[in-house]
Amino acid sequence: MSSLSPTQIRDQLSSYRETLLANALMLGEIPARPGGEADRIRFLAERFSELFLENVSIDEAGNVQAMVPGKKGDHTIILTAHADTHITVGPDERLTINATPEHLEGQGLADNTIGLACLASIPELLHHLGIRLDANLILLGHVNSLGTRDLAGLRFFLDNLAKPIHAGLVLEGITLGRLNASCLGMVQADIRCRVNQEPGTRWEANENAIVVMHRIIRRILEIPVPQEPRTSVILGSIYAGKTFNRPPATARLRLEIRSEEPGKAREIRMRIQEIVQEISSATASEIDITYPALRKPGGIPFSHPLVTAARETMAALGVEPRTGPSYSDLSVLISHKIPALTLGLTNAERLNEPEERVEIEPYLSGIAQVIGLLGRMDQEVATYAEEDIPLTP
Amino acid sequence: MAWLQSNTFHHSDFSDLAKLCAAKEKAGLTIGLCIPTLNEEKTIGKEIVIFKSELMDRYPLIDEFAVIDSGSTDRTGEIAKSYGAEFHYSGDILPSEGFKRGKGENLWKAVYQLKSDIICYVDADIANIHPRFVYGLVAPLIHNPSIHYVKAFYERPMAYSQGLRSTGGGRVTEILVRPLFSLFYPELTQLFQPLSGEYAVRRDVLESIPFPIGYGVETSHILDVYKQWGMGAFAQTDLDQRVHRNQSTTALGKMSFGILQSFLNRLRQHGKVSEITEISNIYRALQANGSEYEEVTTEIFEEERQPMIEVAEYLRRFPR
Repeated sequence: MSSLSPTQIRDQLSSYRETLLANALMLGEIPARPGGEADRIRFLAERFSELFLENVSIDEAGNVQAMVPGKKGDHTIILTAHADTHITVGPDERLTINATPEHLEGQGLADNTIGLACLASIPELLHHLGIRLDANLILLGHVNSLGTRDLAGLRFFLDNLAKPIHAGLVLEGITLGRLNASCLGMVQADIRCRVNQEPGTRWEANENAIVVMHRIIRRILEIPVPQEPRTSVILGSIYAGKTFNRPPATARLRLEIRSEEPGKAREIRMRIQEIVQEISSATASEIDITYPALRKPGGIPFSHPLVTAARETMAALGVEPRTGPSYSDLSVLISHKIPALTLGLTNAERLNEPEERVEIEPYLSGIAQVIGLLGRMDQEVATYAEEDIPLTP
Repeated sequence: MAWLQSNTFHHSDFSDLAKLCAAKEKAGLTIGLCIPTLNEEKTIGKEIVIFKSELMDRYPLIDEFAVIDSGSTDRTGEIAKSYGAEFHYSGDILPSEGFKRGKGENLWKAVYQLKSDIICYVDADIANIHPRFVYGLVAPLIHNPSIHYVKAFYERPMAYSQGLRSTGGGRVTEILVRPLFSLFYPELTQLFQPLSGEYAVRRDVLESIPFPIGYGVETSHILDVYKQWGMGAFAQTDLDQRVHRNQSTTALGKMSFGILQSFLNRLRQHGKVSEITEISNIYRALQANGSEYEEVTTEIFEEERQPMIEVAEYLRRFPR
């Protein structure tokens, strides 16, 4: 490992600005809805192959992985970024990313083109900076992460990896300073209701799925939700009906439960399930509830040396850490007992609009932070393993 | 149609850039890239970043790179310079020859400004820019010394109100240039898109041909190269999609008028027609405003720059 400080790393990154931005520009123009990331994954695989990394491959789930072998190879660190975005592109449309001196502009940059571009750039930057880690470094671009896909690619990879991983970093486009060491328990619930409508019945006399769903919502809102530890029930979307005057036969409600308290999200989930069964029985309606995503809370303690290393690296770069729980990729690493953090890389404006843009200068600090922290992890990862620091809870 | 088979390529034929760079080094060639601009702040940054990163830093395919501008009033120059591009106002190059406004002027000045054996021209308004726009064009020149002029062609979507739609060649190509080639130069109809703004050419060809400064530059280049070197000097490369702003029918009318001027001049020079009476430089269109009807006239004069080899300063810069 070289002895470059985080600020020295950032200063040197200016020379490779075009390389960093070119990865973001080219990846950003490849559409990658969840389940449709194959072109992005191929681009990454080609990049990794050009750099002569080891074990460059695309697995059964569609993830791309490569390894930068360490000098000793006694330990393994993983760097991950999800390859999918929320942006869907029609057959007659295309994603366009543009560059000004201050910004990159275009949809999907923040979540998560920038994270993926950072992943693509890290091995080349390590090479240019003369940094060779003692530990092996696995680079993973994972697929099927967002929404109901529920991090399927990352789960597949970790469930099927034969070798142990000793520490990890999750790369997210925004926001620089983001430092997640723990994750919330999370449950996504999808409730579908179908009422019985007798053929030939007058419209005004028919059963109405909106009314039934309204009863369910009212009962959900009566569930006690503690403020501490932080817990919330988010009613995310509702669909029912097509016209002004026709009672709909079906309705659908999607919601998410989050909690820092172990078991709380599960408890609320069970309560909602009871409500659904009760109202289904009372109204003679068919009501199904499914759970597209279930994540357990957990994390590493704030006193963990990995958190300390991250905070010190950020401080050296003048980046103010914003700590708090996450509910994304980190939860899968944590559930596999891998001490890990989520880091944000830059700042963004006009999120999810066509004019979405991310700042370039903070991005350089974001990457310097990742490389600086990798160096610290490389020095300290042996102690993570030896001390076997328990993951909370 | 043997030429069509032997001299038509696909960019993927050349995507092994390490191999291409090795072939370039073995051939002892240098390659310069010219991006002609006029108010291209939207796309110029991306083009420079991608070409510089992929074709200079990552693979040493391009040796030099200049943005040559006709006098942009937006941030084109600032953005180009911020990404380390060599940016020139066309009027500052070869000032003894003066300045004329037009894309052809920028292309002509590039022959003086750049030093390389091969010059690749790429328009600045391409939304889906990719390294293939350069390597796909220079590769046939690297691999085959008998090829002198490589044209791009595309599956060409044109932006319209709700997105993008694919067409074959450009409209002016299909309605004007292809019929003219069919009439007078049938062999040249093998070129899919003779008007495409992306091409790579050897210096000894570029310095020997005149450059119309306006719309006719691509057409007259093709006719001049064909006349002097024959069909075997050409190649064309399929670069897949090119996404750019669509032009109005009025703009295409003016473009066609300029192309026709250049074409008729070449017909005369090549002895293809015995006599053409004096032709007008005024493009005439009509417009209706309620019950008022009026003629709108635009002067379009396809002025030409002489072959660079006839310019004394050029000969001093590139002594024989």
